[in-house]
Amino acid sequence: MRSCPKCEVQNDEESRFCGECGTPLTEMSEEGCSNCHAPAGKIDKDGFCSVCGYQRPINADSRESALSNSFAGASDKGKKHFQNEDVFKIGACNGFYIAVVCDGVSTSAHPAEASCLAAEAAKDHLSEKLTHCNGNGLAKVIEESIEAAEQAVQALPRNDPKLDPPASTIVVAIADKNKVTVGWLGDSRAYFVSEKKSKQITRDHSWVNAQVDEGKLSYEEASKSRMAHTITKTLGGYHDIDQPDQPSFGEFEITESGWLLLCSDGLWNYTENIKEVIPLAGNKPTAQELASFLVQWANQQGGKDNITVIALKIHPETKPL
Amino acid sequence: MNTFQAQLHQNAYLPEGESNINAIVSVTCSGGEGSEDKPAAQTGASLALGLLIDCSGSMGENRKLQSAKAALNQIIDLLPESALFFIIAGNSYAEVIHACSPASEGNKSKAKAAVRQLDSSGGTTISKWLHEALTEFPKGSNYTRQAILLTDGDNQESENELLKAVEECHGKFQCEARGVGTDWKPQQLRKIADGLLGTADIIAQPAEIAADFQNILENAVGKQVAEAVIRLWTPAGSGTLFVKQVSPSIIDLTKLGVPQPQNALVKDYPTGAWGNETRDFHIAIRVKPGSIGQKMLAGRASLVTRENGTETVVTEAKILAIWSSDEAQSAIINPQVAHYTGQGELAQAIQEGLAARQAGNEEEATVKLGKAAKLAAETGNEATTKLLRKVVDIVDAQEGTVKLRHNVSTEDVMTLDTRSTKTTKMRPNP
Repeated sequence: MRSCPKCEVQNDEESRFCGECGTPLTEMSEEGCSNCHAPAGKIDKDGFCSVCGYQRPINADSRESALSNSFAGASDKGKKHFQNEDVFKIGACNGFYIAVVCDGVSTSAHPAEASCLAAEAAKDHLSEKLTHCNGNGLAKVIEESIEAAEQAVQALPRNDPKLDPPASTIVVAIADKNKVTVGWLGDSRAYFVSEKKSKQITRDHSWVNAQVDEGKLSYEEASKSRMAHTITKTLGGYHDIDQPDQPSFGEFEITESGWLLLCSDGLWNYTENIKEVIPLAGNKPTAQELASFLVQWANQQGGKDNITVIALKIHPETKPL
Repeated sequence: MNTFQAQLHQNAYLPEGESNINAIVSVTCSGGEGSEDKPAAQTGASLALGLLIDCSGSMGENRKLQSAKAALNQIIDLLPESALFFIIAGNSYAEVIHACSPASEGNKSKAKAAVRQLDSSGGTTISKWLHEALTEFPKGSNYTRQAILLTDGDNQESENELLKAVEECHGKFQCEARGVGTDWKPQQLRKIADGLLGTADIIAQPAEIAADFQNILENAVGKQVAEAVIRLWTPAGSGTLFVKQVSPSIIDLTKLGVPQPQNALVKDYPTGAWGNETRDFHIAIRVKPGSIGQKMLAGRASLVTRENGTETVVTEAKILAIWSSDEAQSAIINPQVAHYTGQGELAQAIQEGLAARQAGNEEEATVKLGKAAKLAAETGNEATTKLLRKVVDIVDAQEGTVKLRHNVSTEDVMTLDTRSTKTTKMRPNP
């Protein structure tokens, strides 16, 4: 087993990256070019290979982790991208489940680092605050965790004039057996899907929704534009350091058993109706089976983007009559 | 001490599958002698000037040789003492009438005496003049080697012979090529200038030779860095489509690239001597497309000076490629890249248009020169628009509609031809 130098999680001996946080498990300088296999001495200080020019991917292609049969996450770089700039975090604390998905904006500087640091910062903050939480003020806790994530992204170097400043989406969920509280920036989503119905808890901060809100275009019309995938709020990005984008919040009361799903756009881009896809995972899948299946399914549809899914099965407490 | 600074202009974002990368590298050299903040200290390169003067039979007409002699006398007087100089009288042969010597008072008098003896006879074989110049220029050391070539007629040898001679002189000296009168061939002078990092230009009136020579001398004296090259690294498996100087004038450096023996991925492109100036270079590289999100170093362009046998990397620009799924981002063409692409097309349209006009193909000439008028207007190249107006009537610049003018003087056509490669800088906030 190899211990991750950053988060101390134990990984398989042959792992090149930590399955939990994506940190490379061998020092950069010890490894040569992942593309042309040039020796380590050929890699310049910015990570570019001085033979083939390729910059090494920062995150592992594919990651999975499970806390139990009912709570797991999976992530894959998909088929078109060269690295995985999505990151997920799952945890449990004081009776609360914690789930975070971040999707680094691939056209900004350091997208993989941005999503990794943001998710880490948010999860650390949640774990700390929820230890002593009685279930009140969960939205406030989420808001602070997103602030912590914002600071982590802002701390990345912004000095590359050729690239947009580091930016990432974030969706944070805290769940217990009765309620899910969610906060987000950008277009990473949370759904609750039961046998009877499917509810999207988040609403994307996207160009499409902005057009709809302003009454300029219908959802169908706006979705066809090449601007459709532009997100209007992020962690980091162009906004003033002192005036970060304000997250949105949502709550969902759980009255029947179902799946809480968090995902990046690599999944939802392929379906308007997630409820129809879940049964394809088979009869009574575990959380890990479902998350892996959905990632694999998105890859089968084309895998145009990084794909990340967190699945949490929630059975509501039977309320006393 | 001169300092160099490189500024990179490019849109690093490429759509999926795109393999061509374009960048403008703008290099500014400043702080050398003669600049306002740092006047004269006796360092830097000294000038070695070669004067190659056509003395063929036709030079005897229209006071051309007389004017050339006057220009030579003036330039000899103006030469700084630190310079070396020589004079070659060229016709069917090349005669060194003043061998390479320091520009002392005594040597200047001797040179002027030799100039007085110059006479016009015989034909024009420029390759011989260039060969002779090659042997006269001092080797190695710290000299800015500049030649001025003046001719008035058609070079009477095959294009191959001329090109071969130019090739042999690559990197050995620079040459400003001038045609006096209107009986010479612009494309011949352009080949000499392009190969030897100079400009080709017309001196329509013999009386103007002296002023033109003086200009060239002033420029050459201002060059403090004898030699610099663009050292371009490109990744394995890639290809360099072209390397061109695009400002102040277009010089295609692609074929002048010299592979580095130690590293096959690196080529040196000569840029000649530098003074206080800014030059823009357009570099185009073809790479194997990466996947979405892939970031690649597509080229590293360094400016390397060579002084007293020492190479110094003085500035560097990293040309990146990032494949993006965001079309809005990858569709943007960098304004500088767009501007200089337009300037290149402008020069080509003029040259092709004039060639068609010469061949009597009025239809093609109208189309090409119309395109040129449109490009010149779009890019704000007023100098070229002015020259175009002497050859065509511009009916609608925006639409590129022109009418060929009749009774156009040969001088105006040749002026447009030779100056077609002069570019303008991009207008601020277009």
